[in-house]
Amino acid sequence: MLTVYLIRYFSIKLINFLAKKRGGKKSLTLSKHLAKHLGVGNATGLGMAPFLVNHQELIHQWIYNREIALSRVFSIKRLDKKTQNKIVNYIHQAFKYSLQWKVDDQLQSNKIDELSSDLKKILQNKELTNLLSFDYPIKTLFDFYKDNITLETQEILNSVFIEPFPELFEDLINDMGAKEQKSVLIGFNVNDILNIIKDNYKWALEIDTTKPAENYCFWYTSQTKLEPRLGITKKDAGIDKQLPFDIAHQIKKTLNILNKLPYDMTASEVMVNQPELRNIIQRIIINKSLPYSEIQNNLIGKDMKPIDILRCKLSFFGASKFDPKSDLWTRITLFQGAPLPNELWKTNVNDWLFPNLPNV
Amino acid sequence: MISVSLNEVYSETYKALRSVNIEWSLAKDCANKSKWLAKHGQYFLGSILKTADLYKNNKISISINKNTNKKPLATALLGLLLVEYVSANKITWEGYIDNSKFLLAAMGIIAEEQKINLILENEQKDIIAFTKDKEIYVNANLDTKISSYYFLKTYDFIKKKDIKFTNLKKNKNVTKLNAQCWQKLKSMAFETYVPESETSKSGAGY
Repeated sequence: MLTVYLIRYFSIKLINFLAKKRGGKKSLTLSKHLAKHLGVGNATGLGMAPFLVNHQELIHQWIYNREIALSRVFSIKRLDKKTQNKIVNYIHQAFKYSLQWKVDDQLQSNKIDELSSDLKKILQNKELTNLLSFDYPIKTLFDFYKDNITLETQEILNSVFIEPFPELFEDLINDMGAKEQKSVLIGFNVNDILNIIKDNYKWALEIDTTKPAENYCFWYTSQTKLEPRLGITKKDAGIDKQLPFDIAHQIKKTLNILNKLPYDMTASEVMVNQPELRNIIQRIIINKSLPYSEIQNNLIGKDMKPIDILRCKLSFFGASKFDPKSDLWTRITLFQGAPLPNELWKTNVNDWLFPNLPNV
Repeated sequence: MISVSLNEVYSETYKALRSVNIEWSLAKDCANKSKWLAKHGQYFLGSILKTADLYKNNKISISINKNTNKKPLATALLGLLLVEYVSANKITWEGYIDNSKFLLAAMGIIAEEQKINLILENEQKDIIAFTKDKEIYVNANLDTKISSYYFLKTYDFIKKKDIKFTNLKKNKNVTKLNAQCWQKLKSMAFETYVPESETSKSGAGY
């Protein structure tokens, strides 16, 4: 990410350098405001999707810390006037940002329009400042609106809520990594595994894995680019080399097998007798203590959109202006609005949430 | 010799084993053990290629309960499963193994991660290795390459013997491997890749 930040600055310097070379004394330098509004673009394809499946502990840690951050701001009992105004200003900024967020994809374009509409309604509500004067003001504000706003708006508001309180999350910043376990934890038996499946994998049990629509595609690694790709079952070759991302299917198969075994048989003994269950049993045991470690969707189903997986991962890198080009890849922007290197010593330097260009 | 990162060791190993239809989890276990051996400065690559070959020709066992001198247990594949099984069920396992090196890696991994105390003895009841306080200690005098009959169990107390044990410590993040063997492994891994379909290309950033 530091490299990306430096490439951004280099690009700004390059623009100014080339302008001077071409125009000499008549040239102008890019204004500071325009320079800061330049972000670094990135195109992201399917390569990132298996990362979230393969690194359970890490993904749990990211999502868990996000939830902790939100629970901390929701637990704030009172806000002073200055912070209340800050939050309202951030919502203003988010609204202007949404008006400048333009994409070609019709579905996403509609979502952005709904976002703009939601934020406008919130800002026009005369009770907005009043809500922030209540006890537990952020939770009060969120609860007031949550059933009447889209998911896109909810997530924008979550960013707004976290932004004024960086001091609350210093410990979380240094806790975004995870140690990944290579061995399967011992101490579990068949009954334990069955209970975890029933408690944590309801989402998988509700999927009818016999339907063709739930077996629509398969993941594989491509020969040409050594990257993950999606093939269509019964149409594309390579299903014999598919990656084991049919988690819901594996859960159901495991449940059926375990239901026929003695309840006190150790999980290790199950795996000794049936090594093909080891992969999923390990996932299940990890999920017991790390409940955010699974993507709760059928990753080989027709309705699955890999773009949602990509966006989740990219959001943790600070990516913005999500611009899907299809269900399989997207463009995003990094560091748009970020301070330039010669500004990093200033106070309030981190105040660049939802940057927007004036007079646009 | 060629320099290779530990992450490459992991990814190419498990793919190479998948190319001979070794079960996903066993392939990944083997890749983790290989990475552990590389990290601790131990050779592993030749054994991986040999394991794949023996597996293809049905000359090694992947059954913890069924193994013989002529068809020993493939510890490169079953090592982690075995140490977990012994630890979970608190039993003494005995049998023929092909190569104790991977079993030592498995013992090392489970000791680091789950603080399990295990002891490995040969047929003469000499201690080959034991784990204690997240570390593994290996008998410096014995040859680990010979296929033989072993005993593996958890322990509470080790009788003190006048044996020199080497503590295998981490010392590498990049490892140097035989270029030809590495190339062979990579070519096996390549067999797990699939030519892209036109459908999958469209909208994937092309």
